[in-house]
Amino acid sequence: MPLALPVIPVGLVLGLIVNETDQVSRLAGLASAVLVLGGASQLAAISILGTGAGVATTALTIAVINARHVMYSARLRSRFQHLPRWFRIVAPYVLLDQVFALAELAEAEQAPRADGERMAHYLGTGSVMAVVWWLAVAVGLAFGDLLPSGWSLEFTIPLLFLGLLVLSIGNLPGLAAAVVGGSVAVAASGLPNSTGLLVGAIAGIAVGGGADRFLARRSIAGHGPGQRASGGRP
Amino acid sequence: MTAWLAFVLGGLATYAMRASFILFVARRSLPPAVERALRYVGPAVFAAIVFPLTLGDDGLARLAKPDARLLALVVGAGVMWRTRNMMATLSAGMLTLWLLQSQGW
Repeated sequence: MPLALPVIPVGLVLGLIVNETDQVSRLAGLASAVLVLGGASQLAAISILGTGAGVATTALTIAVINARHVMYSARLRSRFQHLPRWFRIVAPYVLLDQVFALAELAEAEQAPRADGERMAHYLGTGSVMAVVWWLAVAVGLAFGDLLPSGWSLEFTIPLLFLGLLVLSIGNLPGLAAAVVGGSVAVAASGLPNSTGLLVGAIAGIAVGGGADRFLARRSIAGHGPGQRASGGRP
Repeated sequence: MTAWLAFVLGGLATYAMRASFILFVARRSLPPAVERALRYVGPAVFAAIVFPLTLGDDGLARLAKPDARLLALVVGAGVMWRTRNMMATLSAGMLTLWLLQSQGW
């Protein structure tokens, strides 16, 4: 499961940082992986706790960094709404970036799918990602300096997201959404707590939707090519 | 205690946001234009994560003077485009980075 590999060095680093932060005990560091289950937000939270930040500031930082998950939730709504309530209670807990990317990919490549198959696929990827993350943080806490320095293993994270990005672009509006979303995020990267990410993402989604609508109208009018499946179906 | 409380509250907020549409307002339908736009959550969010990570503080100026990381990412993107294989992408990207770094980039 190559999608889980890049989170291992990050989990190890997280454990290392917890060990160096007096304000966060080892048990609390491990608990953050279970309670929050979001690598970037945990790293930020532990860093600012180390500088003396309080409960409200830290909790708010976690919330802002994870706010992108609202968009994942909105995207999956129509696909999950007929599924059993227990699934809709469990599913949000493991709604990680990689899990969302795989759910979209599976939908684009093998729709239509039976409910059982869809739930098994989602919960399978979700549980693997969660368990790998917990173990990586635990190992990092136990053997902090295990990670070989100088290998730049943390570079696998941008590589992972770039790979997910390439996989998620299925058509022209998708490409437009990526170019606009990424460029706006760069332009807004001065905003605190990665709110630039949110601004860029919303701009990209809006442009993608607009381009999709434009191309769909053109193809109805009989001019343009038919619309291809995007990163997933509704 | 501060850390524990912050993680509990931050965790609850994170779950609430992930559950927002899947669990809490699942039965209410969104306008068709919004559903259409939501098809592009993946490309828009992943690009908004990757671009700033790639370009760092330099912004778009980094494109004019690429460093080893940027070149390795370009190779990784090309490999993913051709193979659609994450393991191949990670391997090619890391190998390119190590090779360039060993050459003093």
